[in-house]
Amino acid sequence: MKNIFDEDFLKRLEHLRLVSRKMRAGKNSGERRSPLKGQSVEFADFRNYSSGDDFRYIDWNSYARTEKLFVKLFMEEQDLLLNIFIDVSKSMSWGEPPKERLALQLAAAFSYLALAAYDRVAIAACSEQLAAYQAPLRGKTGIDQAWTFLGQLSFAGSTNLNQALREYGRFSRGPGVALLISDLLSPHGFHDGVKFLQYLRQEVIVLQLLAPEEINPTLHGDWRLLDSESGESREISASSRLLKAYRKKLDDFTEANRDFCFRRGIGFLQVSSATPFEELILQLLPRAGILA
Amino acid sequence: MSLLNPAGLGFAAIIPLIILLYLLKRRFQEKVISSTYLWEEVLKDMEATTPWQRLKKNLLLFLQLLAAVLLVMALSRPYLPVAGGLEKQLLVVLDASASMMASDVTPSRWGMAQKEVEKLIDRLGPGEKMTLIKMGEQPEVLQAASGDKNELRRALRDAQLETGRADLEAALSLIASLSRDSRDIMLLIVSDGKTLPMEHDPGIKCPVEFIQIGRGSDNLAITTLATRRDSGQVLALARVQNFGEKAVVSDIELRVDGELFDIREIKLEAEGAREIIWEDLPAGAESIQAILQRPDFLPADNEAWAVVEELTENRALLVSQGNLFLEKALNLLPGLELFKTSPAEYDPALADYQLFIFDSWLPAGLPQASIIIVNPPPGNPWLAINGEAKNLSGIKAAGEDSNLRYIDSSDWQVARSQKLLCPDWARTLLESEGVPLLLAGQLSGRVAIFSFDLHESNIPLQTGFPILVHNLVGWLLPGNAGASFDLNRSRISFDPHPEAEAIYLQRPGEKEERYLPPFPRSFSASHPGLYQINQVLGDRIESNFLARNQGDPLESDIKPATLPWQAFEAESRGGGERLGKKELWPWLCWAVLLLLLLEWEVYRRGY
Repeated sequence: MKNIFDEDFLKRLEHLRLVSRKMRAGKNSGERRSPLKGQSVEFADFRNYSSGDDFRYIDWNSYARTEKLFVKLFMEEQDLLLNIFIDVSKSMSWGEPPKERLALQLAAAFSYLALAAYDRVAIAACSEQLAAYQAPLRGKTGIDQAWTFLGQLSFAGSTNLNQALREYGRFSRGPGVALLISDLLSPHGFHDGVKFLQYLRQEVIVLQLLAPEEINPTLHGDWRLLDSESGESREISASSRLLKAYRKKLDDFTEANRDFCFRRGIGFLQVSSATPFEELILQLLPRAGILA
Repeated sequence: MSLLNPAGLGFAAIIPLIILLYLLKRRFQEKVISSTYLWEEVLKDMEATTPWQRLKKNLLLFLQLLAAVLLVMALSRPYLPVAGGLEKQLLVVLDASASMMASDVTPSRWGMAQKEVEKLIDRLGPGEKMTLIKMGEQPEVLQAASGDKNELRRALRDAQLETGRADLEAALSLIASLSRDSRDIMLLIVSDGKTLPMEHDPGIKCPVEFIQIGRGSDNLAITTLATRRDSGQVLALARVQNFGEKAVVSDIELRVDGELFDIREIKLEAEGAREIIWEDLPAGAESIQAILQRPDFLPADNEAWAVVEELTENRALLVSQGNLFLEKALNLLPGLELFKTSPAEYDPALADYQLFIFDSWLPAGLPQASIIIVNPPPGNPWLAINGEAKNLSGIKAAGEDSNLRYIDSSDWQVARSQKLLCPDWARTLLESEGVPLLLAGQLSGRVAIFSFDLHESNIPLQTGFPILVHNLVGWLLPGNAGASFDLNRSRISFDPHPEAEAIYLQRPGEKEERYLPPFPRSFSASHPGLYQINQVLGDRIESNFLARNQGDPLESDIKPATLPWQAFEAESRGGGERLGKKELWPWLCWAVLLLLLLEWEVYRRGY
């Protein structure tokens, strides 16, 4: 997997930081601000002294001016748990270029960025169930491990994100950021799964990967379409009207997902698998507010 | 719409074949896609919202089926029965005979025939031409091979209905000559079928169609009205014919010189006829008119006129051993009845002649009438003879004389002639070397004398001889010879009086027309009625009446019939309705071509 990035690109990645719109409490002090006030150098606020407070934090200068005891509050810096959920169903290996390639690149990039920022990264592979799980890794030493895990993933089986995400509940280690990378093309949908993640206090980001042929099919004539996962067939006469209806359907589908995500405070981005990775990392993701 | 080739419908078997091919053709190409999830949703939507889309999906199949149906129809050669379909030139014969006046159809047969032709004109396609021919007594080309509809309409509008018969043979002969070298011709005859019978087949090769006009047959007609003088009494005879299929009763009215003379009621069986005779008409009657009171489809033949015959005939007596030349020349003269006798049988008591011709013989006493003396015998009391002259030529006029009008006597020769001494009551008309050959003078009547035996000259063989005899008789019997009338259906042939200075023609119901020399030799008499011709002869006027009647057994019988044309009838029976078909296959083929284009476009657009 290392050959996905050259050194120059890795350096540029280092400058990017994952931002989470809400600050999450973590187990270890990290480089990320936490909504909990704690021991850091960054001043946050004052509050009245109450008995039991550590009087090391009393602001004596204020006491001198006002003869009242105030306690200084500081922002506590915590580490972040990034959970990457990658769809490894058969449909992800379809497309030109295959969606799995970009999915792996993204997972690799996010885990690199997170680990480089002293955050923790866990990776879950989802198909009809939770296919594989990498427990949280920490520090730059985890990068190799994460990439190795990603490199060993095989794309097969059908998709049932709800089921897979529900199974993740067993491994949940507290609040964090959940990044779901999938084509979302599943009759079961993903809403229940995402809602479950939110229940697990995850800030969810959904990246929908679609192949160009899925976004804008160029079929012509009579076709028997075979589902890569279920093997089911569907006969169509590809007319311009049908293709138009398909595009309309896709737009509606995307819009419904976007709407769902917006209402639940979930980040959502649909990406073509043909999008150059650099453009995605350096432009699209920052623009969507997923990367700073 | 009918089919010329119903067997072509057998090709409809191609339709299931196409469907079969279409089913075979719909072999799907397989393609693995990531997920059929969205496609299923799309198809579900489309089928749910627009069920007919399933049909639209097979638009190509339907276009192909439609094309196949059209092709099969084209193969079965459907046609619309129209007059004058695909022919390049249409020859339209319009019957303009009297029977077309009948009002058994609205507005009349003629009006309906005009409408029919107008329809044909409207239907005339680009590149097609029409020749419009009126069939009357003489065929008349109203408009020759024209594609200009306005021109044709104008010609049709201007066409006048005639009052005579329709001569089909003459019209067909004209058409045969018009269409001899042409192809793509169609002949269309618009008529009630009442035409003169045909004697010869004109040999027309092109297709013929007959548009029959008319329905009814109710018509009563006066087909004859005649008068006769019989020992001072004037008789009138009318023949009334019922051409209808029902017995009828009608009043018939007789007018003498415009005054009502008699009314009678007559009964006629279906298709029956009756003669009515009136006696004791006024002796001075000039003309009579008979009128049928009962209205019918053809009113024109309910009236008839007749002129009471006058005793104007001149009788001439030729007393000769035999003179063929004189006989022939005198017989040519109209209004002169020639009788012959020999000198031995001549009876001086015979005084009922206006002209005597004594050939090489003279009676003891000359009659009180006009006389021609040929080769007078010597020793007669009236003409002195002084020997003989032989081989006379260079015969010339002794002086200007109206009797020598239009005569060139320079080639005339006489082998032997008597030398007459011209008496003081006569004058010399022709002479040769001082020998008088023709004298004219006045004794008790007018007298003309040939001094030689006609057999001993070449004069009877010369063209001038009958003219000379005509002139002489005209002079000898003034006021009678020369003028004659002949009514041949719708024309008056007319020989004006030689002395006529002016002629006035009074047509029925029209203004008097005046003619000056040179006079026309015939007048049209298209309307039935009494025609009066007045000739001004010096200080007197000679009046003649002519009656032109519409009643005609051929035209008054208005019951529509088929054309009296054997060839046509045979074709009609044998060939069925082989004419007047507008075949539709070219249009169908165009439609198929358009469909193919449409199909290509549909395929290109990927519906």
